[in-house]
Amino acid sequence: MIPTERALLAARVHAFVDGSLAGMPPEPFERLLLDLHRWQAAHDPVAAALAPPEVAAWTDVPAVPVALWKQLPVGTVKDDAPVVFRTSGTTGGGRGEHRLRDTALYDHGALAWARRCVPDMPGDVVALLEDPAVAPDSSLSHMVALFPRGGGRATWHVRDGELDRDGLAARLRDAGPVFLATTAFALAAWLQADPDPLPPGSLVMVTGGFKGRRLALSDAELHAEAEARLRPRRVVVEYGMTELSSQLWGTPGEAYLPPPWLRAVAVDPATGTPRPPGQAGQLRFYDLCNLDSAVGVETLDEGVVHGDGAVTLHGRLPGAEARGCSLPLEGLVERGS
Amino acid sequence: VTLVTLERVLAWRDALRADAAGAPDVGLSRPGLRLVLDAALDALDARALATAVDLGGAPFEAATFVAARTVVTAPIEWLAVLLGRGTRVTLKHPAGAPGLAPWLAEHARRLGLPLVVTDRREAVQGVPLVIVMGDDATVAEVRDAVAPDVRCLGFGSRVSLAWWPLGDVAAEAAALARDLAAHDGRGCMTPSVILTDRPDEAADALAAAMSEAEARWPRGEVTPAEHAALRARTALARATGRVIEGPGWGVHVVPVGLIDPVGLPRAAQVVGLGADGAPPPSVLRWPLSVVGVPRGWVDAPDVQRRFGPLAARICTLGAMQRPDLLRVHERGLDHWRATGRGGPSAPAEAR
Repeated sequence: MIPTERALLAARVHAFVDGSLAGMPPEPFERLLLDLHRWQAAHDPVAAALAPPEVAAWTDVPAVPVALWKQLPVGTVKDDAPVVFRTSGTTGGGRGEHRLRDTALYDHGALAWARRCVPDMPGDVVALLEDPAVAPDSSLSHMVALFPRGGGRATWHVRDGELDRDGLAARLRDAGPVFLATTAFALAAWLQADPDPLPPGSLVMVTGGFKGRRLALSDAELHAEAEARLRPRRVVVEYGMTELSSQLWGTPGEAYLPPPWLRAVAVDPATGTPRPPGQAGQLRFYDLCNLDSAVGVETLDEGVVHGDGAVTLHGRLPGAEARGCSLPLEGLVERGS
Repeated sequence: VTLVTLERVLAWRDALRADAAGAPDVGLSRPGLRLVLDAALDALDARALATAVDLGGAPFEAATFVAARTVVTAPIEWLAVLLGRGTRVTLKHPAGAPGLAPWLAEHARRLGLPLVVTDRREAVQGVPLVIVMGDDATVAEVRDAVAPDVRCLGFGSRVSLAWWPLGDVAAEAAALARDLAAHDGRGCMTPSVILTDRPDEAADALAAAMSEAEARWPRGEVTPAEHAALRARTALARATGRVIEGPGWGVHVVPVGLIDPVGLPRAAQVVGLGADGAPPPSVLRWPLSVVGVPRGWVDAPDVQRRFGPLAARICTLGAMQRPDLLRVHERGLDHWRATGRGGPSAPAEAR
């Protein structure tokens, strides 16, 4: 009886989100994660196949490699999924799919953590992203569409992969403070057009999204240029993946903060063994809001998980530019959202 | 071509073989490097080399070989033929990744052979012949960078496979394990997919052979991204097929619909053929390099019909990574001819 069990688990996750934000989680993260995994393993052949014979601790829960999300239907929802978020597929290797029965938990967690991390977020949103009405499978657009508040609205300024500069300029003319949500790539493209400063009091959110394209600027340079040209009140950064329901937020140059319902683990890429806090490794995430898919996700990113759970990103795992003349590995690695 | 020049090239070959222990670290284990060095140097027998240098008419006076992304021994046969003709050669390697290049050049210098190495991009300018091995984007970039009258031969990424209707299972598994061990699976002649009519039997036999191969030629360095990809391949096989693995090697049985053309270090991807023995259509769309088949099958009509029009070379298992010097490189095209002034001007574009 998937619906009943799922509803009970969804209620527990919902309560965990609310309770943990209030400093009083209703139950331990570990217990809820293990219950979610057991339910997923009972209903998803992929989770069942990857689980070790005995899952005693939360770190025993398998993290499904992102490559598998492109190859197999990961999770308890199969071909009849009401909601499907897809990776962009811009670097080859097909598109990964994150299937959900609904977005209630996704929306609740994403919005709650964004509000906590960016309490001064203006209610009007200007997104250098595809309109979710046009790209309903973009998890990033879906998340940003949650942000308007107080009578504000969201406008979308990427069409068919191209930045809509005229529409953007018109939108910002005479506007009040806005929350500018953008991928790094779109922001770099916009900055090349020498834009006017944003309306006073605006904020800029930059998220990944290089997707195999080479950018002339480093993250630090991009953020500095955005500060200098757009003169926002501040720049914030966000890290998310199509395969995750929850996101990490931060300030440029500092570690990303995961919500209490998302834990990061850095593992030895060779063995998958967790590394101690402070040591760089391949990042895995355990996301309680990934109810319908897989609570554990193994990324292709490298980073450091600090003692307080915050994450410093280093970028892609090194060595994708394979040696030899076989087909390159790098064509098959891709970051979602 | 003078006998003296040829003799110097053969002396260069012998010097490389004698100094194999002095070859720089290239990420392979020492026995693994020895395996591929021996294969490359064994191909340079005197008769074959003499024949090859005579192909293509008058030699170019100078050439640049761009080893942008290829296996470390790939330049050796090209250098041997070009140097054997008296062509001055510049070997351009990636910045910070010289591979064997300085070692090859030092031994050439000692014998008076005109081989120099560089990491400068400008090396492709001012020479009448450029050979480039790299990913497709690099090949295109070099083509665009050279003058129109320069002969530019480009070799992009390729995929190889083994077609293995089981016969003498143990012997063939050992041969296949050798093909998989060479270059740790990173070469375009590595069988990245093994097609067989009995996947479980093949996997068991191959696992035993790969374990032995690992003991004989241990796997070298594996990058973090490769480790991650190996773990993903293992997870895929665990979820959909079967996994047999040991320290430094793995055999993954996966369904036809989930074949991945990317070869991973010491990872055998075993796929079951349908009842008709036909390779899956997706495989036939890959840019095929070598097809390895069991002994006695190379000229079989079935093999020639299936793979003859697609593969650059069909050979027995165990010889996939040991190409003869004299061979058809690319479906009816012999590149030794193209590296002489009288050869076809752009054979690589014909593929």
